[in-house]
Amino acid sequence: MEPTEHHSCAYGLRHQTRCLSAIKSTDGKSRFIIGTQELLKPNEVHLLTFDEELFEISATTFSHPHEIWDISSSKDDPDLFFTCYKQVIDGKKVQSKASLWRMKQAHKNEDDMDHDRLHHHGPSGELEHVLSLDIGDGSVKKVIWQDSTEVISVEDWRICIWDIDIKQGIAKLTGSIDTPNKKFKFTSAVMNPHAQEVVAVYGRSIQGWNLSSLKPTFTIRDSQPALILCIDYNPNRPFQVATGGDDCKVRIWDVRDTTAGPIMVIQDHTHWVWSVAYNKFHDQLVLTSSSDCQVNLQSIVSISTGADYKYGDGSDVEQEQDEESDDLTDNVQDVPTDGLVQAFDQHEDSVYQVAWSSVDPWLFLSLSYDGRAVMNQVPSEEKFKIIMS
Amino acid sequence: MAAGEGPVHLTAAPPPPPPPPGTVTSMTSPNRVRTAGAGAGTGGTRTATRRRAKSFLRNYYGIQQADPATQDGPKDNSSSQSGQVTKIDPYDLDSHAFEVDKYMHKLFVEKQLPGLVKADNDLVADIRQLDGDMKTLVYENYSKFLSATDTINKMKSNVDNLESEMSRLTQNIGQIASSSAAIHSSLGGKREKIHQLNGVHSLLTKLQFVFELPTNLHQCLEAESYTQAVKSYCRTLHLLQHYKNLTVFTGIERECKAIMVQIAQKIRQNMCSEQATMAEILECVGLLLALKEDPVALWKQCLELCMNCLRKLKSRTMEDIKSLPLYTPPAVTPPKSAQTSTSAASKRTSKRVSKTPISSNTTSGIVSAPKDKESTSETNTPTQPQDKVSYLNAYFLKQVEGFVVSFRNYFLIPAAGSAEESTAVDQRPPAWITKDARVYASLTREELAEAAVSVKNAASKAVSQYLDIISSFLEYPEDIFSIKPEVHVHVLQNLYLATVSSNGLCQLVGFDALATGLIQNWEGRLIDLSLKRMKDGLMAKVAEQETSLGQSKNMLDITASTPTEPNTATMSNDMLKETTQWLVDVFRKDTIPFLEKCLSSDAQFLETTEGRALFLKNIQDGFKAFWDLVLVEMKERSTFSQPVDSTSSRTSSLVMSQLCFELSDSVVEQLYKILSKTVFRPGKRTRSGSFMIESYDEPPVIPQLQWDCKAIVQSCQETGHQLLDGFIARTGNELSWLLMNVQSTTLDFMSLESPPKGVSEAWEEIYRQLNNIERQVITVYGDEGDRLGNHEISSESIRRESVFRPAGGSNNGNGTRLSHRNESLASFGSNTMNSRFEHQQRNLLLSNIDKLFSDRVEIFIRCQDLNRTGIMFGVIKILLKAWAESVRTMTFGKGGFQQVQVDAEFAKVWLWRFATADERLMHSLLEETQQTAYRRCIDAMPLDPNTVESIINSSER
Repeated sequence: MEPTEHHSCAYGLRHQTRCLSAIKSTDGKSRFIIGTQELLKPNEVHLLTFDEELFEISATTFSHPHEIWDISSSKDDPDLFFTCYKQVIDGKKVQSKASLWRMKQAHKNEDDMDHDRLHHHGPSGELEHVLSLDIGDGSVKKVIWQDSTEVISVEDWRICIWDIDIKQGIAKLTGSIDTPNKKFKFTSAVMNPHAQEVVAVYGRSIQGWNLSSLKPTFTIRDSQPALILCIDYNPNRPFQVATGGDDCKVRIWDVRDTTAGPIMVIQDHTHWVWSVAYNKFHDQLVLTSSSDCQVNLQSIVSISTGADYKYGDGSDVEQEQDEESDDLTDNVQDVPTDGLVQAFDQHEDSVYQVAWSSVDPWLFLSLSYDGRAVMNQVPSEEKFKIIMS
Repeated sequence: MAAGEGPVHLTAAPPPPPPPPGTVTSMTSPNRVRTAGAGAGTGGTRTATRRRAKSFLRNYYGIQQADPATQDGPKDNSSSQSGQVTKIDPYDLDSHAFEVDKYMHKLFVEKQLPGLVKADNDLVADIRQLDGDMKTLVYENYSKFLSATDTINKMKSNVDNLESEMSRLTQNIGQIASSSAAIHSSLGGKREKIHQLNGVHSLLTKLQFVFELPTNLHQCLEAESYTQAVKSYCRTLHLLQHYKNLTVFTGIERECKAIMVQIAQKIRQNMCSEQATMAEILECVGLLLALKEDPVALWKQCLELCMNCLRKLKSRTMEDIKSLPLYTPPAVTPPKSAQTSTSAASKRTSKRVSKTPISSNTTSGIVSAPKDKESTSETNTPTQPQDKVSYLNAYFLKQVEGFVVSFRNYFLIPAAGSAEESTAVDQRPPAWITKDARVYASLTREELAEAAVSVKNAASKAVSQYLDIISSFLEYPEDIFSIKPEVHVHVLQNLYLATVSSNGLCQLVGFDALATGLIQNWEGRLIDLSLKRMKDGLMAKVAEQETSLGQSKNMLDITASTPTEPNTATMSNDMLKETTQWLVDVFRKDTIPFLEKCLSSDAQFLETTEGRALFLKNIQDGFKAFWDLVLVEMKERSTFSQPVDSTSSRTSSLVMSQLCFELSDSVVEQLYKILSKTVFRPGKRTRSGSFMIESYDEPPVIPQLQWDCKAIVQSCQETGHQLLDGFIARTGNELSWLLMNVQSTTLDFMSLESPPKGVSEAWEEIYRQLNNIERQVITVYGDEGDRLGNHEISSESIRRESVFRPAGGSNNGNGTRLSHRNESLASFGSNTMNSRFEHQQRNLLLSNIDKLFSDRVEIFIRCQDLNRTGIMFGVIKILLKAWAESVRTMTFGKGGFQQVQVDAEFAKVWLWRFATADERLMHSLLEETQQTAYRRCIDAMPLDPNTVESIINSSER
């Protein structure tokens, strides 16, 4: 919990962890929730709050009945989140389920604070079960919020769309999409922030579906040699998605031209890329995490909206970026360029997920399997470059 | 001074010589006398005395000693000089410092009386002599003076006479002048008249011509000599214009005009007639232009007609050349010698020769219009082109050229400025037109521009047709080496010569640039095709090698249990060697000689330095592009059809990667050396054939190519790495997918029975595939260590593999493996399995700290060890890491965990030999996998090592 020279702040959970999610902030503080994944031990949900002034993380823990494979917080209500969890039934069968929870924080007991701190346990609270999605075959792996009344669940072989009523605790299945290829499961999915569309990845393919018609919008099929593990949608630029796969490469695609191949390929990892995340404020910043224990902060400014501001239109200005910017600004140093901004190697185990803070555009949290969560910031040089440009 | 005194005192000399010593101290004359006497007395001759006297006189008259040396002798002179200047001798009679007293005293002291008398006598004699001399001189001078006086008197009388004569002369001349003026004035009036009469005469002559003009024109019209008619008409036109207010002239003019209209019509008819040749058309245009026809309409019509004509000409020529051969080889038989000279002329130095017909065609051909066709054919008969291209040049291109030149002269040149006039005049084909009438179209600037553009278009169309025909002659057969380069070179040579001789086209449409482009294109295609053939051959070789590797792999599959044929590895190595050797050979024996042949032919366009440099540049670029193509194709092949037939493409990238390394190692440089030794050979180009001579001292790659060479070596290396890494990654991934797919679909790890019966099918399959892959790698890359030991190692590995087949572990020769296995099992031995795993779990933090200090493991990285160990370890790393990752995402039942345990142990034992590069890493990865599986197991019951071993042994291996 101490700041390092990289301005990073670490938090240990003492549990194996796979998933985290950034929480919508109401008071300007960056918050994240992390779900633990312990098969045999009691599981917890940790709510981490980052205090920028003290530069430390305070945590609230909630106990969760089963091991958590994915967690996703509501975009509107900071207390609501979905977890996908697996439970063993009769010692025979594993079934995964998805439930919506509400965090109920107990009032902080001042006396307990010190005691709790020593044991690395902040104040604890309780989770209130709001509702569960009635998943058929029990292989749900991800829940995505569309808005406060509609969520999407991703299973091995299908994607379901649900209408939820939080007050009454009812979830109603409104539609489902089956995997187009029976050989490959869905590995991940993401909502298109610009349209009513869900984009899912399975095997080597990327495919989008319209949420209301449930018809495919585009398909990029087998255009790369690797299995795709993760996907994220550019929050500011329609039609641009980023994927990571088991060939260590991050690919940026323009989904309008499905045959052209990726518009950018980044290879700075040496093992599978498990997570990719666009910065919501500056989509030229992309975070990737990998089972080579590294988190990479990439700049893709040449194909980001940052390039649009500078050149006035949406045309991709790729390689000329550097030279042209040189003409525009006096100081060459101040221009953001494509490439690896920084590799963060504070983790000792595979980093399965990374997430940007919802309020601070420069803050992000990465989580490795050994239960280590590290808060990092975009290096200030890069920050200044982006602000100045 | 002394001389001046001399004559004065000479008169006084007669007084008696010995004066009283005291009185004559200031007197010098007696000294002198005495000196002379002393001189004579001391034995001086008379001549000497005279000479001295002369010199005195000479001094007196201001005559410088003319020749003292010859007259006096240097002695005398110097003595007097020295006497004067250096030492003063008072006893010298001639000296200024002569002192009478001392002299006298000396005489008195030295001489007796007779001596004194004698001296006195001498002196007296001397004095007399001097006296006589002086008198003579005086007389002579006086007579001269007298004659001079006489002369002056005579002159005086003459001058008086002259004056009167002169005055008379002046008077006469005045008279002449006045009379001539009178004559002039009297004749003036008549002269004027004569002038007028002269003018009238010439006018009358002209008028006569004018009056006769209609008849002349009629005659011309009847005789069809329109040229003459137009010529005459043009001459008189301005006259008629001038006097058109006179009725007589108007009549004549009308008459002439009527005739000229007829003539113009006739000309027009001629021009538009179907049979009109190009030259006729052009001449007619010239005539019409001279008749001040509307130039705009005229050039348009001219253009149209000429184009028609050219079209016809072209089709006719095309028909004609069908029968002609493309290339007649330089004659071997005697009768062809004449033709040889012509074709050789067009080949070698024929610039002059081939130019002649053209010029004759454009000038004389056009002027002598009526018999133009005959004359052209006549002029061409002696040099009747024997092959298509020269025929085409003679009958088509020359016409185009003639058209362009004429058109330009008629319509375009004048605007270009009068500065060019002088040169332009020479080019105008009908000389009389330019001389007499200055025929050109007075077009406005816009009209001119329009005309220029249209003629340019027309000409470029014609030229491009021509070039199309030419390029249609150049065929590129499938087998590029079957091309006869001399044929192509000949065709292009003709083209080149045509460009040299077609100035007009060059200027107008950049014909030379187009032709150069065509030549360049030809060169490029030639090079590309020859290199492409090489590339295709190379690729075919690679494919062949792949299939043979595939076959050998199949054979290995079949004979997996029996010892494999020992020569597999060597076979493949040989094949690789053979491939590269083939490449070098083809390059040396086919490609290079082929290019050399093209280069060394006598083509003129290659003779020039720039043409040659261009050709070499083309070769260089082509060769570079060849490598790029090869590498790109290799990369494409490695990714092509990847999902469909993964195994074969996997092998192909393996083979190709090795080929790339091989290329970058030596082959590329070798080929570049050959290239620099042959085609790029510095210095004078030797004739073809010399390239076959192999010199043993390999010259280095010439600097010009060095950069290319290095770049290609690098890109080969890079491509090799890419292909190899691609191979490793794909192989690793495919194995991993095998592992993960099997585990997640067909097996439910929750409900696996415990204890497992044996190693999981996935691992059996993986092991089988790994063995195959290893064999492939060994066949392509060889085992680590030298290649001779290759075969032994591989057979040993097979032996090792067969060790487990008999159940007992006590076989000899497997010590390494067993001890290793024991070691790995020993870690299990001390505690019960459960407690071991529990312990490990408790020390999770510790293990994390361990990880902190251990090196970061990079799974997908560039393979640096280009041998079996490096490559196989790359694959194993990927496989094991993938397993570790996938285990994390699963939940195990009792049996499932035990299965993982068994599989891991199996992997430890059997994968060991693939992971010699870093055994520790393999162990830690396997250990981690087991740990994870333990943690992800709901009721873990680890098997004890003995059970594990017996399960492994019991499985059907």
